Amino acid sequence: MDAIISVRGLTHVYSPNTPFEQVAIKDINLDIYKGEIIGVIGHTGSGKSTLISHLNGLIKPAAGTVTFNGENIWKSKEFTHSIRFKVGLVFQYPEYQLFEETVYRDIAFGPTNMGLKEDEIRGRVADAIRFVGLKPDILEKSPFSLSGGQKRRVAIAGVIAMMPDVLILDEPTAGLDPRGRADIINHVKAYNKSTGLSVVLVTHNMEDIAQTVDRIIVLKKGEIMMTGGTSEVFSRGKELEAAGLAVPQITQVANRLFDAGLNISTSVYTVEQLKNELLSLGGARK
Amino acid sequence: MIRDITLGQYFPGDTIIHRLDPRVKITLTMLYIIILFMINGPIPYLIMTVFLSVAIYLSKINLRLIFKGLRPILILLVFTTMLNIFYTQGGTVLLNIGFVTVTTHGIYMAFFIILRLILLISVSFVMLTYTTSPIMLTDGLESLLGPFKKLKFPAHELAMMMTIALRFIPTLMEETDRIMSAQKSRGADFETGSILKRAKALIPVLIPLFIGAFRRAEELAIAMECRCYRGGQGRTRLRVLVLDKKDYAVTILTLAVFAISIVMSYTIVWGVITR
Repeated sequence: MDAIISVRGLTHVYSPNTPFEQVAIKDINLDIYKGEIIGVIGHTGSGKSTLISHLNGLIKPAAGTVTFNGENIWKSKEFTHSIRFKVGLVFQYPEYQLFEETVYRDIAFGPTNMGLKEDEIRGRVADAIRFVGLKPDILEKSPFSLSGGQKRRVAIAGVIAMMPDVLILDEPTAGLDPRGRADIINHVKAYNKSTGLSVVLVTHNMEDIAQTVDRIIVLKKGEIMMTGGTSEVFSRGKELEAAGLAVPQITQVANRLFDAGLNISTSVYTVEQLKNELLSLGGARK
Repeated sequence: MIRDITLGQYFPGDTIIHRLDPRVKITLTMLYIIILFMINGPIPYLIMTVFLSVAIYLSKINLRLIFKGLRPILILLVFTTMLNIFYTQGGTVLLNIGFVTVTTHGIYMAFFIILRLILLISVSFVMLTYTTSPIMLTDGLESLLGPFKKLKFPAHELAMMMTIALRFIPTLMEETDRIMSAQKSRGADFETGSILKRAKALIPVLIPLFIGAFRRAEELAIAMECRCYRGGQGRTRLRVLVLDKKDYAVTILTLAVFAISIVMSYTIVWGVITR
């Protein structure tokens, strides 16, 4: 299967040639395939945000390339601009970017910039608002009158309305209550299922990652420290802790049980998996 | 990118220039600027230039940063040069095309005006923004304005406002950067089109930015009240500014240099410039 986005040898340095020079990311290689959900985790300052800003052409690589369906996203100015619509990027605290008078017009901002027709925009806004789980009557309200969780969803809808092929979410659940978190994560999962778009989820919340993604990339000090399937990465808890990260709570429980002498796998990351592990153990004892 | 703007940027260091009392730095910088407008003749300007060069050398500030700081006034510099070259008459005529006349005197004037502007900007960069932390700067200013408190002048409040303003410059820059990136991700285009179109394109940036600034202001006000801030009355300081030997030495030395420049400007006749 061909990768939809390919990153090769990507390096970026902030404020080069000044006392504040800082290498943000170094020699990153990465492929994103159609339809998958990838988790990118890393400690604060590990280069997560810098990496994703390269994926839709906001930052020009200092070295290395980013390709979309095999074409370099910097091959022409127009192409870079069009990539922004194909790779939808939702920043951290996206509710702080709302600016229009009504929710409808804010969500329509992206599609309008794409040059779509009024009917098409109307349809997309309606779809987007449904995908993020909001009622259509919210469309005529001012975005500033909404609650925090609603604002966040409106902002995400603003990106979804562009119908990107890849959706990148930077800390989409930061600062939300457990209910709001679950809502957003579930809607993203459902959206991925129904449309088959690729999702990149950037977070340092391990619980979000455990429930959602197919594959994990761990960043440490601007480099890829490890990458692999969810259970594979979470079975290397010690290394993750050394990078300032934790494993999901249920994996921690499994690790403690293992240390206490139970012969179970420590690569579990959902309650269901641990339950099965423990039940199989009981079966063996009989 | 916007984060590369050096406006109001402090470069930490531990040189003698960094360690000088901020009050000394503010006073001497202001004096330097005043003197710049009082002197004339090549030697006094040379003295002032050498003096600043020594200060730059001592502060270990990269020259490139100073040029970077000068870049915003480049247009002003070019404009002033033009005006001075074309409108100053006297001396030998070098060039005469129609109504444009370039004379030696004009070039001479232009050169010194430019030098004056460059020195003026660089001295405030080197002595104040680049080498003095914003907190020291406002502390120094408050202390210098202290005597006016008796005249009901709100020195402390003014200094506090300055501190807050300086403190929020980088934050707001970063926020602008982030909002611009976010709107660009939704296809906003800030780089092409007519001036009107580009100005309109900034609305999606400015509105969230203002809302964010008001939000921050409110949060800060609450945080300050929670810590019982009541203005300057009866407030003590963690760091009390004290003048020591090096401050006195630098002051005396600087004043001597200034005095020499002035004396030379008014006692020696410098040919062309004094006519």
